[in-house]
Amino acid sequence: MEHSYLDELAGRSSPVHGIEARLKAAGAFVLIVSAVLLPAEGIWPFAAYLALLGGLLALARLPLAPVLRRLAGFAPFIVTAAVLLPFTRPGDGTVSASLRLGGWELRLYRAGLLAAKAVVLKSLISASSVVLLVSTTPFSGLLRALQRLGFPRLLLTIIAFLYRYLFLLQGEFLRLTRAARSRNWEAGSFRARLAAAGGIVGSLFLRTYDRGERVYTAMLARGYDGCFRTLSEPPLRPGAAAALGLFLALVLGVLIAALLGARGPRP
Amino acid sequence: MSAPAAVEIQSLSYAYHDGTQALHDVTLSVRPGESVGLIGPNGAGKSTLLLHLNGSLGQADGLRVRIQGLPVDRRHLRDIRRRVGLVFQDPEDQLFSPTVFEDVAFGPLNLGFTGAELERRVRRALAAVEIPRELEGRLAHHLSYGEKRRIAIATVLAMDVEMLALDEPTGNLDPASRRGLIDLLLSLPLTKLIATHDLELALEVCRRVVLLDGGRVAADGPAAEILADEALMRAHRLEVPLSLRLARPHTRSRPRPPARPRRAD
Repeated sequence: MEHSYLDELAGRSSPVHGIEARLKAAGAFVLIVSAVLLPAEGIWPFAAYLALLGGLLALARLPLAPVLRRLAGFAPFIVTAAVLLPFTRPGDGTVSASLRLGGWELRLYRAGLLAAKAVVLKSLISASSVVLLVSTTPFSGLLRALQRLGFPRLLLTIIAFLYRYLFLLQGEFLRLTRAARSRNWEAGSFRARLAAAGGIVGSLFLRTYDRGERVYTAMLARGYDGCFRTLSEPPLRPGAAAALGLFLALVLGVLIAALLGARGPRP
Repeated sequence: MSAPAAVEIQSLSYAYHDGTQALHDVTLSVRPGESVGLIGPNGAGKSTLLLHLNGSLGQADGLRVRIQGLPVDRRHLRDIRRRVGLVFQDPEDQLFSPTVFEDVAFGPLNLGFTGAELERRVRRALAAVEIPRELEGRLAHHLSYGEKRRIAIATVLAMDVEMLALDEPTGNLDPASRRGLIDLLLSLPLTKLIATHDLELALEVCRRVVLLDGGRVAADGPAAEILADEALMRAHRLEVPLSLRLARPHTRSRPRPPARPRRAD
């Protein structure tokens, strides 16, 4: 069956892959929140975060192509914001440039440009953090880490089931459509094709529903009583905690310096 | 007093919500350590019967099914499920966790085991089904069908069950995986109830078979006798296993294949 899976890069080995999932998840979370809090002016705090991420990315020895492909997944949102903001956010009304198109005047506002820059850089940092985290951490470890960090248990359970059964569902969909195509689905009239598509979606829904029932029965058969119990985690190694401490000091140091309006050289 | 029967079923009937009468007055007793094959055509009620063994169905009617003397009702459900390991037909239904290890740990965790004891149970169960440790961290989706089957069995072995209820354990397996699974079943010293269309499997693993048809017990006796009864087998949409037919050439039921036409010179 053809599908790429989320954590295909997570099975590699590197210093970053070796870091415990909890630390990476906590680190990524703090980095993202700090990036969001950075003031829009100034460029060096953003550069510092990107340099930090670039360093980790190099340390993780990930192949560049899949990482860029994943980053590209965020592009539509970032590009939309970057293109619209300069025209739609007047701020104090200062116009940086204007463009005459017939009777129309397109105004590029200074505040909008600044906001666009901040949105692009903040999104880039956030997206890179997530891509780095997911590419260096097996999914199951990530789920356990998020649970340890206090994410709602129910939500994580749903994500775990989704992760487990998404591919199966995809396979089932593939087989159903293949069976329809084998009987010349495409050759039918639009109406007939639509009806067949309805049938496929319907039977996929029924199968999924049935599977849900069977999985639940299988869970009950092994003593499930509505309460999800999870494996216990070993305590953190002191070295790992120190590394996280250093990372947090760097990230928060940059944030505080930026918020205080410091424009000096990088710490 | 002798030990109670591993399974004691007293005139059990069951109808699904849509009115389908799946089981009709089934009475059955299984001795501790016995291996019993449940055979019968599609829709005979084999799976429905297995689901009654651990209270997945028919808890309200629990007194009709007893496991080691315990009635299968709400009060004893937890205990019953520790004793009866139900292995479902589709391993995809049984393996729902992100990793193999977590799947095998699910049952023991629910029984309250943690830490080193939990790990010991998981490792022992995986070793019993000969799954190497490298596979522990894998997602079930990336395993072969044979491996999934074995791990599905490990998920109940880790609960230290006393009885296995298997639904079509050799379905969809290639011959080598099927052989491995049969050898595994032969090596496990547990009471076994095996619902299957694989009659050669029933012949090899089970001394006794119970033939279900239309939700009723149509025959119950030594596997070698029932499986060899051509009239009985045919009447219930089954057939005499080839191994038994070949073993007795004088009762060959089919005429010899016609000689090949000779090539014209």
